[in-house]
Amino acid sequence: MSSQDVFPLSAEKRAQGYGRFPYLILRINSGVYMQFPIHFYTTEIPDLPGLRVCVADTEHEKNNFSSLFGVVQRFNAQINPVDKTIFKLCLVLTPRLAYFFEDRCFTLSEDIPFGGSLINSEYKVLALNSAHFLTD
Amino acid sequence: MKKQVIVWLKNGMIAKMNAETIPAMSHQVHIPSTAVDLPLVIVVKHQGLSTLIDLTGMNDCVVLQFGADRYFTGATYFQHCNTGAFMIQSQARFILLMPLPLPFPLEETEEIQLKATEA
Repeated sequence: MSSQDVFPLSAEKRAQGYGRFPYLILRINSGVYMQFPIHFYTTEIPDLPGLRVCVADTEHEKNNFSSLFGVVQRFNAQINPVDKTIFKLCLVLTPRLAYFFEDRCFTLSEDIPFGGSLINSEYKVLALNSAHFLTD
Repeated sequence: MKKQVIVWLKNGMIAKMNAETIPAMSHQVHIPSTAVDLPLVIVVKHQGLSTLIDLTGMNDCVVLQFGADRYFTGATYFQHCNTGAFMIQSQARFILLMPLPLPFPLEETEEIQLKATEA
């Protein structure tokens, strides 16, 4: 396989929530990104990989997006020691809207992370050189 | 002209963005079709008490409003309004149009700051 080969998200990974908005990207290094799907739930905690967010209602999912800065902050506190950023994070909301997070600052961007090696939290490859979200 | 816009949130976090800036020199603002990309900030320059903002043709957004002291005063959602003309009247001096969805609670918004864009 060459570095230019395209390997999109598989149907199995899609079923686990990978590639669905919103999701969080953790930059491991240049060209290697780890994706964490974000699952909203009301009562039963979903047995799916990623971040699980308890909300009052899942019917109007966009209404729950207002909790996402808080989700990113809490996740950052878990993975990055106090006052020291090792891993940069990116909250991706739509194909044209993301917020990069570093040092208490969310920076809005129309360009979202794309391509490279997309891996899950177990360092297994999800996709190569393709979009990090579902395109169909 | 683009400016760097910093929105301070109550928990000490900030949301930063580069936004096209439109000065409101009169009581009515029509956003030119060349500047419909979001985010967009309107800085009220006239001395009147309110400004009528024509959002017709804009993409869905949330309109964050700030007073002369730059503190948050209120917000308007502009969603699914693309079937006709749509205007809002505001007493704010700084008006920020942000793309949806908004990833923080509106009530967390505190203050706005405008700076020259970083090189």
